[in-house]
Amino acid sequence: MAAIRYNIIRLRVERPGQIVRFQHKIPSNLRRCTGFKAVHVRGVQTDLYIPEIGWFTASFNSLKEEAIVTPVSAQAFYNPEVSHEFQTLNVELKPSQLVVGVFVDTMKASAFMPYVVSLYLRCTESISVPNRKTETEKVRTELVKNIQSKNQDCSCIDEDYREENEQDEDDHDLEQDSEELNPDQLCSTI
Amino acid sequence: MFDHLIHIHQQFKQRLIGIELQRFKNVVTKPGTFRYEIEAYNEYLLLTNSFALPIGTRIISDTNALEILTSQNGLEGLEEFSGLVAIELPANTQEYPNIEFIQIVKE
Repeated sequence: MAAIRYNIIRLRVERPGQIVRFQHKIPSNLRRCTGFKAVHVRGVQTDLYIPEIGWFTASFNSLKEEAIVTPVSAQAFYNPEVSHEFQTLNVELKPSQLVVGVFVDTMKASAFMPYVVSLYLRCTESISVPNRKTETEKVRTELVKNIQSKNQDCSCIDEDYREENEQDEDDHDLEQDSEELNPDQLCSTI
Repeated sequence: MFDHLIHIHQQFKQRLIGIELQRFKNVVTKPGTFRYEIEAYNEYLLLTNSFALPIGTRIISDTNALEILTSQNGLEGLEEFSGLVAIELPANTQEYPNIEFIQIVKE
Protein backbone atom coordinates (compact mmCIF):
# COMPACT_ATOMS: atom_id res chain seq x y z
CA MET A 1 0.00 0.00 0.00
CA ALA A 2 1.17 3.53 -0.69
CA ALA A 3 -0.13 6.91 0.43
CA ILE A 4 0.43 10.00 -1.67
CA ARG A 5 2.15 12.98 -0.09
CA TYR A 6 2.85 16.34 -1.71
CA ASN A 7 5.96 18.44 -1.18
CA ILE A 8 5.85 22.11 -2.13
CA ILE A 9 8.93 24.19 -2.93
CA ARG A 10 7.90 27.85 -3.08
CA LEU A 11 10.21 30.58 -4.34
CA ARG A 12 9.94 34.36 -4.58
CA VAL A 13 11.48 36.17 -7.55
CA GLU A 14 12.37 39.78 -6.79
CA ARG A 15 14.17 41.08 -9.88
CA PRO A 16 14.39 40.39 -13.60
CA GLY A 17 16.76 37.63 -14.60
CA GLN A 18 17.13 36.48 -11.02
CA ILE A 19 18.51 33.03 -10.34
CA VAL A 20 16.92 31.56 -7.23
CA ARG A 21 18.55 28.48 -5.76
CA PHE A 22 16.76 26.03 -3.54
CA GLN A 23 17.63 23.02 -1.47
CA HIS A 24 14.87 20.89 -0.04
CA LYS A 25 14.99 17.78 2.10
CA ILE A 26 12.25 15.28 1.35
CA PRO A 27 10.93 13.46 4.44
CA SER A 28 12.57 10.07 4.87
CA ASN A 29 9.27 8.18 4.93
CA LEU A 30 8.70 8.98 1.25
CA ARG A 31 9.91 6.27 -1.08
CA ARG A 32 9.22 7.46 -4.62
CA CYS A 33 8.31 10.65 -6.47
CA THR A 34 5.78 9.99 -9.20
CA GLY A 35 4.90 13.45 -10.49
CA PHE A 36 5.67 17.14 -10.47
CA LYS A 37 4.05 20.42 -11.42
CA ALA A 38 5.68 23.84 -11.74
CA VAL A 39 3.24 26.74 -11.44
CA HIS A 40 3.11 30.49 -11.13
CA VAL A 41 1.28 31.20 -7.88
CA ARG A 42 0.84 34.98 -7.84
CA GLY A 43 2.45 38.25 -8.86
CA VAL A 44 2.47 38.29 -12.65
CA GLN A 45 -0.59 40.12 -13.95
CA THR A 46 -1.02 39.77 -17.67
CA ASP A 47 -3.83 40.05 -20.20
CA LEU A 48 -2.24 37.38 -22.36
CA TYR A 49 -1.00 33.91 -21.61
CA ILE A 50 2.80 33.89 -21.18
CA PRO A 51 4.18 30.45 -21.98
CA GLU A 52 7.41 31.00 -20.07
CA ILE A 53 8.23 33.36 -17.24
CA GLY A 54 11.12 31.19 -16.12
CA TRP A 55 12.12 27.61 -15.66
CA PHE A 56 12.96 25.13 -12.95
CA THR A 57 15.70 22.58 -12.83
CA ALA A 58 15.92 20.05 -10.02
CA SER A 59 18.01 17.02 -9.17
CA PHE A 60 17.11 14.33 -6.66
CA ASN A 61 18.95 12.14 -4.17
CA SER A 62 21.66 14.71 -3.38
CA LEU A 63 22.72 15.40 -6.97
CA LYS A 64 22.61 11.76 -8.03
CA GLU A 65 19.64 12.06 -10.39
CA GLU A 66 18.83 15.04 -12.56
CA ALA A 67 15.15 14.68 -13.16
CA ILE A 68 13.38 17.98 -13.81
CA VAL A 69 13.84 20.77 -16.33
CA THR A 70 10.53 22.52 -16.92
CA PRO A 71 9.23 25.97 -17.87
CA VAL A 72 6.74 27.92 -15.78
CA SER A 73 3.94 29.79 -17.55
CA ALA A 74 1.63 32.59 -16.43
CA GLN A 75 -2.08 32.51 -17.09
CA ALA A 76 -3.99 35.50 -18.41
CA PHE A 77 -5.60 37.60 -15.69
CA TYR A 78 -9.13 36.98 -16.97
CA ASN A 79 -8.51 33.27 -17.42
CA PRO A 80 -7.04 32.01 -14.18
CA GLU A 81 -7.79 28.35 -14.83
CA VAL A 82 -4.74 26.28 -14.20
CA SER A 83 -4.23 22.69 -15.21
CA HIS A 84 -4.07 20.43 -12.20
CA GLU A 85 -2.32 17.66 -14.04
CA PHE A 86 1.06 16.52 -12.83
CA GLN A 87 3.80 15.55 -15.22
CA THR A 88 5.11 12.06 -14.79
CA LEU A 89 8.19 11.47 -12.73
CA ASN A 90 9.70 8.21 -11.60
CA VAL A 91 12.42 8.72 -9.05
CA GLU A 92 13.13 6.28 -6.28
CA LEU A 93 14.10 8.27 -3.21
CA LYS A 94 16.95 7.44 -0.94
CA PRO A 95 16.14 8.38 2.66
CA SER A 96 16.82 11.92 3.90
CA GLN A 97 18.55 13.25 0.82
CA LEU A 98 18.30 16.58 -0.93
CA VAL A 99 16.40 17.95 -3.85
CA VAL A 100 18.64 20.69 -5.24
CA GLY A 101 17.91 23.07 -8.07
CA VAL A 102 17.43 26.56 -9.41
CA PHE A 103 14.70 28.73 -10.84
CA VAL A 104 15.80 31.13 -13.56
CA ASP A 105 13.61 34.11 -14.42
CA THR A 106 13.27 34.77 -18.16
CA MET A 107 10.65 37.53 -18.15
CA LYS A 108 11.25 40.75 -20.02
CA ALA A 109 12.59 43.38 -17.67
CA SER A 110 10.04 45.97 -18.82
CA ALA A 111 7.11 43.78 -17.81
CA PHE A 112 8.62 42.48 -14.59
CA MET A 113 6.84 42.41 -11.25
CA PRO A 114 7.89 40.35 -8.23
CA TYR A 115 6.13 37.01 -8.23
CA VAL A 116 5.96 33.64 -6.54
CA VAL A 117 6.35 30.21 -8.17
CA SER A 118 5.94 26.75 -6.75
CA LEU A 119 7.24 23.32 -7.59
CA TYR A 120 4.88 20.61 -6.40
CA LEU A 121 6.30 17.13 -5.97
CA ARG A 122 3.94 14.18 -5.75
CA CYS A 123 5.55 11.37 -3.81
CA THR A 124 4.40 8.10 -2.32
CA GLU A 125 4.86 6.89 1.20
CA SER A 126 5.05 3.17 1.86
CA ILE A 127 2.76 2.06 4.64
CA SER A 128 4.08 -0.95 6.49
CA VAL A 129 1.44 -3.63 7.07
CA PRO A 130 2.07 -5.75 10.17
CA ASN A 131 2.86 -9.37 9.42
CA ARG A 132 -0.35 -11.00 10.58
CA LYS A 133 0.77 -14.51 9.80
CA THR A 134 3.66 -14.29 12.22
CA GLU A 135 1.46 -12.78 14.91
CA THR A 136 -1.16 -15.48 14.45
CA GLU A 137 1.43 -18.21 14.75
CA LYS A 138 2.82 -16.64 17.88
CA VAL A 139 -0.61 -16.45 19.50
CA ARG A 140 -1.37 -20.00 18.50
CA THR A 141 1.89 -21.29 19.97
CA GLU A 142 1.20 -19.54 23.25
CA LEU A 143 -2.31 -20.96 23.31
CA VAL A 144 -1.00 -24.49 22.78
CA LYS A 145 1.53 -24.09 25.54
CA ASN A 146 -1.10 -22.82 27.94
CA ILE A 147 -3.47 -25.65 27.20
CA GLN A 148 -0.75 -28.25 27.42
CA SER A 149 0.35 -26.98 30.79
CA LYS A 150 -3.21 -27.06 32.12
CA ASN A 151 -4.05 -30.48 30.72
CA GLN A 152 -1.00 -32.57 30.80
CA ASP A 153 -3.03 -35.78 30.46
CA CYS A 154 -4.74 -34.61 27.38
CA SER A 155 -4.64 -36.88 24.39
CA CYS A 156 -5.85 -36.16 20.91
CA ILE A 157 -6.02 -39.83 20.00
CA ASP A 158 -9.31 -41.61 20.59
CA GLU A 159 -9.47 -45.07 22.14
CA ASP A 160 -10.15 -47.05 18.97
CA TYR A 161 -7.27 -45.44 17.26
CA ARG A 162 -5.08 -46.17 20.29
CA GLU A 163 -5.96 -49.92 20.25
CA GLU A 164 -5.26 -50.27 16.57
CA ASN A 165 -1.93 -48.75 16.91
CA GLU A 166 -0.72 -50.31 20.14
CA GLN A 167 1.23 -52.95 18.24
CA ASP A 168 3.18 -50.43 16.32
CA GLU A 169 3.67 -48.26 19.31
CA ASP A 170 7.35 -48.75 19.46
CA ASP A 171 7.79 -47.92 15.82
CA HIS A 172 5.82 -44.74 16.09
CA ASP A 173 7.17 -43.40 19.32
CA LEU A 174 9.39 -40.99 17.61
CA GLU A 175 6.69 -39.76 15.27
CA GLN A 176 4.26 -39.32 18.12
CA ASP A 177 6.77 -37.32 20.04
CA SER A 178 7.30 -35.04 17.10
CA GLU A 179 3.55 -34.58 16.70
CA GLU A 180 3.17 -33.69 20.34
CA LEU A 181 5.78 -31.04 19.94
CA ASN A 182 4.01 -29.54 16.97
CA PRO A 183 2.63 -26.21 18.19
CA ASP A 184 0.08 -26.13 15.40
CA GLN A 185 -1.77 -29.11 16.79
CA LEU A 186 -4.49 -27.90 19.09
CA CYS A 187 -5.68 -30.29 21.74
CA SER A 188 -9.22 -30.08 23.07
CA THR A 189 -10.58 -31.72 26.22
CA ILE A 190 -14.14 -32.91 26.75
CA MET B 1 43.03 26.95 -1.26
CA PHE B 2 41.43 23.53 -1.37
CA ASP B 3 42.36 20.97 -3.97
CA HIS B 4 39.73 21.02 -6.69
CA LEU B 5 40.49 17.57 -8.00
CA ILE B 6 40.33 15.91 -4.58
CA HIS B 7 37.01 17.63 -3.94
CA ILE B 8 35.65 16.54 -7.32
CA HIS B 9 36.67 12.93 -6.83
CA GLN B 10 35.22 12.82 -3.32
CA GLN B 11 31.94 14.36 -4.38
CA PHE B 12 31.48 12.24 -7.48
CA LYS B 13 32.18 9.17 -5.39
CA GLN B 14 29.43 10.28 -2.99
CA ARG B 15 27.11 10.69 -5.93
CA LEU B 16 28.01 7.25 -7.28
CA ILE B 17 29.18 8.76 -10.57
CA GLY B 18 32.18 7.12 -12.15
CA ILE B 19 34.71 9.35 -13.91
CA GLU B 20 35.88 8.28 -17.36
CA LEU B 21 37.99 11.35 -18.07
CA GLN B 22 38.98 14.61 -16.41
CA ARG B 23 40.66 17.43 -18.24
CA PHE B 24 40.79 21.20 -18.45
CA LYS B 25 38.70 23.20 -20.85
CA ASN B 26 38.99 26.92 -21.61
CA VAL B 27 36.60 29.30 -23.26
CA VAL B 28 38.41 32.31 -24.67
CA THR B 29 36.21 35.40 -24.87
CA LYS B 30 36.81 38.25 -27.27
CA PRO B 31 35.46 41.76 -27.85
CA GLY B 32 32.17 42.00 -29.67
CA THR B 33 30.91 38.56 -28.64
CA PHE B 34 28.88 38.42 -25.48
CA ARG B 35 27.30 34.98 -25.71
CA TYR B 36 29.04 31.61 -25.93
CA GLU B 37 27.54 28.14 -25.96
CA ILE B 38 29.25 24.86 -25.07
CA GLU B 39 27.72 21.44 -25.32
CA ALA B 40 28.29 19.38 -22.22
CA TYR B 41 25.79 16.56 -22.60
CA ASN B 42 26.54 13.51 -20.47
CA GLU B 43 29.42 15.33 -18.90
CA TYR B 44 30.07 18.04 -16.33
CA LEU B 45 31.88 21.36 -16.54
CA LEU B 46 33.13 22.75 -13.26
CA LEU B 47 33.93 26.44 -13.30
CA THR B 48 37.21 27.08 -11.54
CA ASN B 49 37.82 30.80 -12.00
CA SER B 50 34.56 32.54 -11.18
CA PHE B 51 36.61 35.26 -9.44
CA ALA B 52 38.07 36.28 -12.83
CA LEU B 53 34.72 36.86 -14.50
CA PRO B 54 33.17 40.33 -14.87
CA ILE B 55 30.36 41.20 -12.47
CA GLY B 56 27.08 40.40 -14.16
CA THR B 57 28.31 37.40 -16.15
CA ARG B 58 25.67 34.69 -16.35
CA ILE B 59 26.30 31.01 -16.97
CA ILE B 60 23.12 29.06 -17.56
CA SER B 61 22.91 25.34 -18.21
CA ASP B 62 20.28 22.62 -18.15
CA THR B 63 21.17 21.72 -14.58
CA ASN B 64 22.46 24.89 -12.95
CA ALA B 65 22.59 28.65 -13.36
CA LEU B 66 24.98 31.22 -11.99
CA GLU B 67 25.20 34.99 -12.04
CA ILE B 68 28.44 36.54 -10.90
CA LEU B 69 27.61 39.09 -8.23
CA THR B 70 29.91 41.23 -6.12
CA SER B 71 29.40 38.90 -3.19
CA GLN B 72 30.54 35.86 -5.22
CA ASN B 73 33.65 37.44 -6.58
CA GLY B 74 35.92 36.02 -3.92
CA LEU B 75 34.44 32.55 -3.62
CA GLU B 76 36.61 29.52 -4.34
CA GLY B 77 33.80 27.01 -4.65
CA LEU B 78 33.21 25.10 -7.84
CA GLU B 79 30.02 25.53 -9.84
CA GLU B 80 28.90 22.59 -11.89
CA PHE B 81 27.11 22.76 -15.25
CA SER B 82 25.79 20.12 -17.59
CA GLY B 83 23.80 19.94 -20.82
CA LEU B 84 23.85 23.02 -23.02
CA VAL B 85 25.93 25.65 -21.23
CA ALA B 86 25.40 29.28 -22.22
CA ILE B 87 27.80 31.98 -21.08
CA GLU B 88 26.58 35.59 -21.27
CA LEU B 89 28.94 38.44 -20.58
CA PRO B 90 27.46 41.75 -19.47
CA ALA B 91 26.87 44.13 -22.38
CA ASN B 92 29.01 46.93 -20.98
CA THR B 93 32.02 44.84 -20.01
CA GLN B 94 35.58 45.85 -20.80
CA GLU B 95 37.01 42.54 -19.60
CA TYR B 96 37.32 39.49 -21.79
CA PRO B 97 38.55 36.68 -19.59
CA ASN B 98 39.52 33.10 -20.27
CA ILE B 99 36.87 31.04 -18.61
CA GLU B 100 38.34 27.89 -17.13
CA PHE B 101 36.50 24.67 -16.48
CA ILE B 102 37.40 21.20 -15.36
CA GLN B 103 35.62 18.86 -17.73
CA ILE B 104 34.44 15.56 -16.28
CA VAL B 105 33.24 12.88 -18.64
CA LYS B 106 31.23 10.32 -16.73
CA GLU B 107 31.24 6.58 -17.26
